Amino acid sequence: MDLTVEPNLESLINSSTHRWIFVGGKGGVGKTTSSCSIAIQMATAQPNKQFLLISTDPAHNLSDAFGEKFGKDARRVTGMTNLSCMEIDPSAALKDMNDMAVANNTQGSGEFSDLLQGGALSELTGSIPGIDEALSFMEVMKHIKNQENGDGDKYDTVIFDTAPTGHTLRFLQLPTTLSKLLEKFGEITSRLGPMLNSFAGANNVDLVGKMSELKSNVEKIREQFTNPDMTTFVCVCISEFLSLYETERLVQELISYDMDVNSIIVNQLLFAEYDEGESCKRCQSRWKMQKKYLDQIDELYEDFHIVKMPLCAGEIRGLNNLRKFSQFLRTPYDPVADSKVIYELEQQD
Amino acid sequence: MTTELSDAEKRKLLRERRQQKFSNGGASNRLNKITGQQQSSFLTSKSVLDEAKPASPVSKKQTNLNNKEVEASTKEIQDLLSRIPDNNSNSEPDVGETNPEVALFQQLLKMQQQGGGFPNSGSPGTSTPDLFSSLLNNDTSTTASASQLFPNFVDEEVLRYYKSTVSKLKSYIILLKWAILVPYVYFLVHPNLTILNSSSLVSHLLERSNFFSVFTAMEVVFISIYYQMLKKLQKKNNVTATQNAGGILKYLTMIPEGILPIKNVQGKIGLALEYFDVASMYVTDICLALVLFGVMKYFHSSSSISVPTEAPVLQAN
Repeated sequence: MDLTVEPNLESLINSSTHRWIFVGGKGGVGKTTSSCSIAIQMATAQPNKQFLLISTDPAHNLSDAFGEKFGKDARRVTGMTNLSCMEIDPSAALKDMNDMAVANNTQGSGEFSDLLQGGALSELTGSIPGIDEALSFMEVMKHIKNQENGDGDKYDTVIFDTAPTGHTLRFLQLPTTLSKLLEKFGEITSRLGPMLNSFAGANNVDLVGKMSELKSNVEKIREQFTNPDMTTFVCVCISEFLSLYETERLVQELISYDMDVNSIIVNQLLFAEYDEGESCKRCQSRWKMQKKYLDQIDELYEDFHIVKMPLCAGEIRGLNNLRKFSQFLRTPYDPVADSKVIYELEQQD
Repeated sequence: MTTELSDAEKRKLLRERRQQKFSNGGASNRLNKITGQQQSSFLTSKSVLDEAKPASPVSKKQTNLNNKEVEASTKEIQDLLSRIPDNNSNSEPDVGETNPEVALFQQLLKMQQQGGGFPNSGSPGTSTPDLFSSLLNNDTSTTASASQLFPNFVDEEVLRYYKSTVSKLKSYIILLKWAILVPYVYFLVHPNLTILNSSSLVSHLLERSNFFSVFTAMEVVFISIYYQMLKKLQKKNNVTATQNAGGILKYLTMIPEGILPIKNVQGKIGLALEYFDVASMYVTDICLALVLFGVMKYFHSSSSISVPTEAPVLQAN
């Protein structure tokens, strides 16, 4: 019985069950490049399915990675028929919410409408810590709703290019936190339900009904996030002490949330001993250090898919470059046979 | 007997295997392993998985609901695992057993769980995510304590207890040694050795030319006993030579790793200081033995003078 784990993401790329894939890690390790690569490979391997790549990082990089502008609405990647991208923009989303509130309150009291006209809601809520995560979560809920109602664009798999670890963990904690909050709220509303409804009744809003709907949606997300066949987290790191430490903590946090994590992408490896000609002394000593941590990664994560990605000579920007680079997620990089690829990247202007 | 597993079964098995590695303190051990790479690291090795989770009503309900399912799944997985030859069980011994640093971490971890927190931390069981969240929340009280979180790697209480035990041990060894040495030197410099009516072995030992050999042999025996007991104490209290050392090592910790051409300078100097301590004991004993010789000589000479003066008095009586 063979229980060895392949050093590639083949099983994830060909997976037909995964609906949510999170890609995360420490800042500057190549999360965006990795998430784009996974999205491209999945979209190529499963042409009949629709994929959406969402950036939840407040400092968005998706547009720069693909070399085209994406916004708060999903937009198809030029050159791909089944891959779309979007960047969640808290300020734009909050402005929309503010406008909606203004529209709903035109018949209400004049003072409140005047206050909202100035964009007070977006200004107030925009500074709340964790608003990015909350909006990303709302996006997830929207997609689930679309899926159920058959509205708007339907996506089979959503890939998240997440913010550095701290933000991401807060985002992933949201379903549990909300679930607990709504549980408490449910206890209160069960006692005060008729009274609350009579308050909200003036605007024909079934407050208790809305809350229970929200609760069931949150529970649904929680169930999906903790189902290893539907959700997985791909950790991205570089072969250095702090990155390895943060990856381990991330893995442990994810396990504590009952989330599946079985893949680790180790980026920016030098493979200096295979360099043609005379290799620089700095590269050699850095590769020596990388090897030390790689050995530890191999030892610590023997039951994980460890994908070792090379450091390329140029920037990995644009669909073509991303395609070239992403092939190593399926076929492990061979420093001898594939060394040409790392010098072949097209220069982006 | 070989059994082919489906992909889903294989994934499930691997997942269980991963979870097993992170359970029962394994998560903290893994962090220890990583932080152990950098001696000067101040990163915490306490895992979120080893912290006691507060039971929420939601999780309680779910636990009750899923209990049967989990039990069934665990049984199934154990059944499957028993069918697999374990390739790693022999190759990977328990980290805590082989690595003294990990053992120290484990003890500190236990202390943290029992007493709550590192010395001076002020916030028991503070983990990195907690610190992150408090930093993000601009919680100044927590951030202030976070800066003092790991001022010293060893528990001060443990170190104090260790030092007092070592000085007690040293005192007992010196006392025992001199309890033998004093009578030995007494008889060695005695002007009239016939009073002992000694055997050949004793008379051989009491030959002055053999003093140095006997003294050195005694020193070797006592210093070995002392050294062995010291090592036992260090192991028992999880204190290393470097942690117990004084000023030189404190200054050495200020030099970043890699600047000096020698690896693990602190460890080497700590060991050298330990040997120096033992050697200084030997030198001190020689000096004291010389003083003792002088004192005994004086004692015997004064007593030999006083004896003849007393004898005639007795005869006269």
